Amino acid sequence: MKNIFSIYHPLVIFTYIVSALAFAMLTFNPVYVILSFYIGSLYSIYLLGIKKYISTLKFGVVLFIVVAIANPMFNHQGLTVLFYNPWDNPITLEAFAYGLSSGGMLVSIFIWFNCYNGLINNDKFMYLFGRILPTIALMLSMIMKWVPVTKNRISIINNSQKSLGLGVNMGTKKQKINRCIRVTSILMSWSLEDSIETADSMKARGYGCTKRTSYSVYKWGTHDIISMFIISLLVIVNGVLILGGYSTYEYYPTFSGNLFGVANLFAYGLYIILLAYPLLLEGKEEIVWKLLKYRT
Amino acid sequence: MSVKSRRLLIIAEPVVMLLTPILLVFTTIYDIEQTALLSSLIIIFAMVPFFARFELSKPKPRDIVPLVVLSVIAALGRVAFAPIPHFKPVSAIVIVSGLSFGPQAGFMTGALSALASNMFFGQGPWTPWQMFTWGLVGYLAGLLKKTFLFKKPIFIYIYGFLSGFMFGWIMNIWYIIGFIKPITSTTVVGAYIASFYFDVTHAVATVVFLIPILIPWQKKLNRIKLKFGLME
Repeated sequence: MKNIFSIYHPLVIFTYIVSALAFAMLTFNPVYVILSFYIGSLYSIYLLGIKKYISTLKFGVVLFIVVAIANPMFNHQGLTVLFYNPWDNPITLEAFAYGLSSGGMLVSIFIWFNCYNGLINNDKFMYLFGRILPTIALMLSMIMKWVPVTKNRISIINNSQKSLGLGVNMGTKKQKINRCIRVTSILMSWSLEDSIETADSMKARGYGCTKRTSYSVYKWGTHDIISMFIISLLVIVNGVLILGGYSTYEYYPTFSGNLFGVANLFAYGLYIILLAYPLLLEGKEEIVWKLLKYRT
Repeated sequence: MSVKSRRLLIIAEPVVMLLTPILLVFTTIYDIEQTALLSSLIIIFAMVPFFARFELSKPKPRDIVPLVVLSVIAALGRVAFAPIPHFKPVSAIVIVSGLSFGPQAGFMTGALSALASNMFFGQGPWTPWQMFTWGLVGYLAGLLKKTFLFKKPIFIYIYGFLSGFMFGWIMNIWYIIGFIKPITSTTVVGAYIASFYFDVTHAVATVVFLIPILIPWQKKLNRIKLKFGLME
């Protein structure tokens, strides 16, 4: 499915998703955690479909339960004692709430990484880091190219070994292991010699003589500039609000901090706008489209 | 690149390696709320001197391709053994790379294997940690090669076994300092006990892969190095 962010410049997308991830790790305030979780879930479902989301969530829920139970089991701080465990250690409401909140944070980080994987494909990643780290980016793209090539080579080696009567699936266990080692060692020699040839060819074509240029399809447009501006502004404002301590919520020794003051609600509103920014853009497109259709 | 700045970067590597755990401890002592984010940033910045030195040394194509081949095999091996959790050949291959091509190459192989294999599995909060840790496994292997201990393969196997634990223990840090509060000895020990089974699996896997590949692969890599005059 095509999402609106796919026509945006990778830097805009990267800024958005990295800030969403950073903010997800930034505060244990339960409202922020819940907002991050729900908006991340919505966007993940929108980007990658419900199936992928559920498989991430399954993994996330297991972690969530482990964290939520482990924290009150091992942490005995907090004033509100719920009950005593068999070892006479108090199980406190505060430790339990902290466990829920940090478990929720963990799950939402996984969900946001889901969105990251949906938004930043390998092409965009290479584009973003190719300028700063040209050699590393080149090596990465060589790896991406050689993985299927190497896979193919393994099957070629396997087939030829099989036809010699030395297939890895035949013979005793010891023979099998020896044959596997043989295959990897053939693969190593072949790949290494071949890679040197590639290197020589690169050198012959003038690799390293001047700065590397790269083909890219990405251009800055007006919509990129506007979105970049809005996202940066939201990141700064939200960052100030969160790091400035307006959202600090303490669990120990007992719950303290204001969750639903006027200033808090305002901050949550700004946070929602930041996280839901691509979804809002998507909605805007939908409305414009409907209007245009209505007019004609 | 001038000799002076190169020398500076060579010094920067071990300094960063020592500074990273100290900084991580500081973030926990000072009880900063944002430790999950901060610790990830520290790990990312810890890799900067390694990448910077590699980039600035302007490596020749012949010097980078063997590392690419090793990273490809490591990434493929990780994908092939994905059904068995934590049983992966990456550490073993990274160690061989560090032994044959030196600490810097070992670091690059480890970091790139982690990044590239995650391009198949999907990136996650673990990516920078895996990059750093596998890089460290390769870097230390390259450094220890010069000591008398690594003359005997048995010590390399022992190092491989320990590296499995090192990997798991460093990976635990993100979780412990980011998500446990307050950090007490019980909670830390609890987290390490919880990961013990996986760490043992990883350690055993590393040795299992290291035993058959160590000597033949090193021979092959040394032959290639000699034949084509690499990394001199």
